[in-house]
Amino acid sequence: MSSKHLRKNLVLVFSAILVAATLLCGCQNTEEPEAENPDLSSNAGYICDLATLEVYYHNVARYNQESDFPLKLGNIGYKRMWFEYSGIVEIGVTASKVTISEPDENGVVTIYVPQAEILNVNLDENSITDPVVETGWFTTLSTEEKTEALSNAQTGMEEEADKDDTLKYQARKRAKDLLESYVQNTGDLIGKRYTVEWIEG
Amino acid sequence: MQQHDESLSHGEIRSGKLASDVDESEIKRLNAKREALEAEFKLEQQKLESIKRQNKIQRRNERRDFLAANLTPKRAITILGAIVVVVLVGAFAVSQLFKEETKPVTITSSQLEEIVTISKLSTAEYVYNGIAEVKNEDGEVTQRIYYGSTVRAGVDMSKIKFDIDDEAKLVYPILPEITLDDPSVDESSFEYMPTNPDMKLNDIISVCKKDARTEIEKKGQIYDTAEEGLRTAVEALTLPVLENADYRISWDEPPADNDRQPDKADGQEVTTNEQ
Repeated sequence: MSSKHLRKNLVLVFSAILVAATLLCGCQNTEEPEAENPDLSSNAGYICDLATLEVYYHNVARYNQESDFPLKLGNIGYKRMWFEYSGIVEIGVTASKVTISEPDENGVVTIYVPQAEILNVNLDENSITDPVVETGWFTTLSTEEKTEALSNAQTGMEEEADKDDTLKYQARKRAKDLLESYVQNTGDLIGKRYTVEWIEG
Repeated sequence: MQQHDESLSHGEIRSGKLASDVDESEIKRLNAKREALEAEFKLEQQKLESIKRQNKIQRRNERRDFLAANLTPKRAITILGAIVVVVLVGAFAVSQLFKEETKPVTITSSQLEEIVTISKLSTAEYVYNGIAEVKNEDGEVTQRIYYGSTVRAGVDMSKIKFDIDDEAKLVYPILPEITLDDPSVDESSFEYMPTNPDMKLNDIISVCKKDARTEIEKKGQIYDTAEEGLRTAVEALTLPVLENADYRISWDEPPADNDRQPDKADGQEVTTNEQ
């Protein structure tokens, strides 16, 4: 076999596979880019929330993506990251759902306080540690992936807090104490003595 | 090569006459001739195989000489590299067809650190989506971050005070200063331009929070909304108790009176400079 013949064969085979690979890869990208209008709108709305507990969580976020490269060669695509930070959850009651009745002839005021819920989730950005990262060959961890990990960690923390009925009970109890004190002191202002009864539900 | 008699290939001589009628010497002669032809055939076959082997060896030697003459180490590495690339690309392309995308997984371990009791009455919430800019020392924008955030405004409920005019049966709420909470940014909303900035997470969040606070304070609308909401909340919490005793709430400035001291919502008297 001549060198010319061999070279020609190699080039043909190589080109054929490259073209095939390009076409196959191209088949995956059939979605058209979405046109998004930038939303820079803002709105101020009325709310009436009484936050009675501010809960600090120490979070450890662990981000992991396995390699999906054929034969896991060099673990290309493998990413692992750990970091710590303090998350903050505010728990309280929606004060707009609180109802306070007029005092009856015995000076009893009836108050309904709704169940406590998570009102706000935040984090202390100064507490975020530098991520510890491990990756495979030719693989890096982008900032987008780091923020995705942080967002998922916040969601996980919120779910954890939402399952904590003890905290919610404490928050509701504190709201009751605050409102009871408020009503009694208002009564003291006008020279009246009031007691509070609660509507449960 | 002589044509081989097919009848002899069967190893026997066929005759229409009985063996007893044929001269035995003739049979022997024919068998000997058959054996000789068979031997000759085998010899021919062996020669043929030998020629084939020689041709094979010759071709192998030719290939070896060709490769030795043309396949330099550099060319060999190039061809090997090309084969590896082709195999990898092919494997990758095939894997794309049957690939189930591996999604990243985030596991969060949360440990309760501290519980702080507060009495924060929030009466306005501002949802703000903006673009924070990061500038270099020369004032040029090097990075833009799109983000979504929520900012709340309100007061410490325990600092709400009241002034009372028993003669006019008026109660004057004295509201504390409305403050903005630390903005809460939505990390899932972040987008970067250019992508993948070389920034730490805490810096990104600091920049966005600062931008949100600046923009919202500049607008000022949230303070008006919060104050209006706060008045509504105080009335809702206080009027049921006051109206029963024929008192009313007034949002006017209380009349200046040195004898009358404002009271906190928790009932403690406040010491003022007039005293």
